[in-house]
Amino acid sequence: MVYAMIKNSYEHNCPTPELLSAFCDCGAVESDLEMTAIARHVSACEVCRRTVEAYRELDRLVAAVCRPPAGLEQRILAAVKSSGQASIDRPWRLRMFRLAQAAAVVAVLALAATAVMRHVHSGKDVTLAQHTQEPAVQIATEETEAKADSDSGAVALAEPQERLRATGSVRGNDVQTVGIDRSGVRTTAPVAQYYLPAAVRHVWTTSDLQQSRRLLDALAKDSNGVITWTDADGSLTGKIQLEDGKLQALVDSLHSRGLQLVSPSQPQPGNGAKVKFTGQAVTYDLVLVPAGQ
Amino acid sequence: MSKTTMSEDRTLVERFKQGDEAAFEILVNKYSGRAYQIAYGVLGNREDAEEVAQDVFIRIHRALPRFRGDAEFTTWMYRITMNLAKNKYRWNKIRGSKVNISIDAPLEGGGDGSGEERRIDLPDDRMAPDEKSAFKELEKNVRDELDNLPDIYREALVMRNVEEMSYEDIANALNCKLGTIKSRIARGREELRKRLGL
Repeated sequence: MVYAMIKNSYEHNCPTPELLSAFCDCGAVESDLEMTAIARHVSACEVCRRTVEAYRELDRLVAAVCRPPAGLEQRILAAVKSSGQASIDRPWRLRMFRLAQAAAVVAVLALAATAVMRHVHSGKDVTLAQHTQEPAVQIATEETEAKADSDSGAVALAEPQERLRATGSVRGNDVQTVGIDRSGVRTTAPVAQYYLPAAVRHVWTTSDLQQSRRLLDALAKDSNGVITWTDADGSLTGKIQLEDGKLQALVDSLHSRGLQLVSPSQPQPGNGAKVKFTGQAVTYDLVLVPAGQ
Repeated sequence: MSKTTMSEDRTLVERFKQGDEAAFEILVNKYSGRAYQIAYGVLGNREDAEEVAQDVFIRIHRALPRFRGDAEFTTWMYRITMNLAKNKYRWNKIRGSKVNISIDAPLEGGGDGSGEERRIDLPDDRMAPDEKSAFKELEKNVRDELDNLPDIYREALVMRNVEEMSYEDIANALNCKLGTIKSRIARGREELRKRLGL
């Protein structure tokens, strides 16, 4: 049943790219059974391991590329405050409004000009009136658009110095720490760290399930915790609550004792310097899968 | 999203309704990055994404007193962000003004008509000099290729990298089925991997 999901897309009966992609996102795979089967396959198949590694690298790069700019929060708060005072700074709608406004003004002017010309020339020069309208309309439109563009520029380029003085930001689970001197000038490069989420799920492969279980029980005891275990389809699933710092230590210990972490989610072995520990409790779900099956 | 976070958000919304402006600032600190990233996924342009993120929170600030809490705050915020980003996207398309210019990109032809190259100073990158120097070539390629991906793949792939945004959240935000989202993320990844030769 489990292998019904495996499509013969590669010569080694590898999972489809869609399944490997879902596997990278852990929770996106529909069942533990499916997750376990893919984990086993990936640990044994060089081609799929490379694909999964490439997907993880891509995720890291996409996250870096889409990283919000420094000082975003401050600029948003400033925009919210100023929106409460007068008109909101909404350039594209502003432009639309001004274009519509300009078009209305031009139309009125054109009608007025036509009426005046008709009145002055007593009906013999309708053609002349039409000729004089067209350039007037054209010029007015160009002026309006130029003004609208300059408005847009003013908004997009507002307060560049303020942006450069940004000293760090906190968003989601990430934190950046930078050093600044009294004048607000940055003195050290930013150090990016992240908070661990409240729940973490990891799949590990091991050469000996029972030995790894005993090891985990011992490590959990050292951390004043207890792992509750369940057996499923030749794998072991455990759950424990730990402080974030102790979870990082547990992950490091498992890795140093030869277990292989196949999940991409944090915390990763040896990555403790990048974690901002707060002592918060983390629920850790782990799945032990026999290697190479 | 964890129940703790949802409960924290409800508390913050209630505090704001009772006049605590600091609660709104916490919401901005918590979620402005996500609004930016979602907008970036739709628009593929950083200035536009920031503009939309600003507008999202201006809207939220105005509407929050009337927010009944039928949906989670984040669901509501994702929806507003998507609507504003899509509107902006349509506006850009009509105007033909969706242009991605890197901070160092020379523009052909000076503004004075002399035909000489000139450089523009956009707040596009907003990185400090030390960060800029560390910006890798590969990341630049990723940005270019990401911007060139079909919209439906880029949206899903970028949202996948938004903190704590589940497949269900993405499906709701994009008004698609879960299976469609899985498929788009996978195809986006595979397409990007091929284009970057990873």
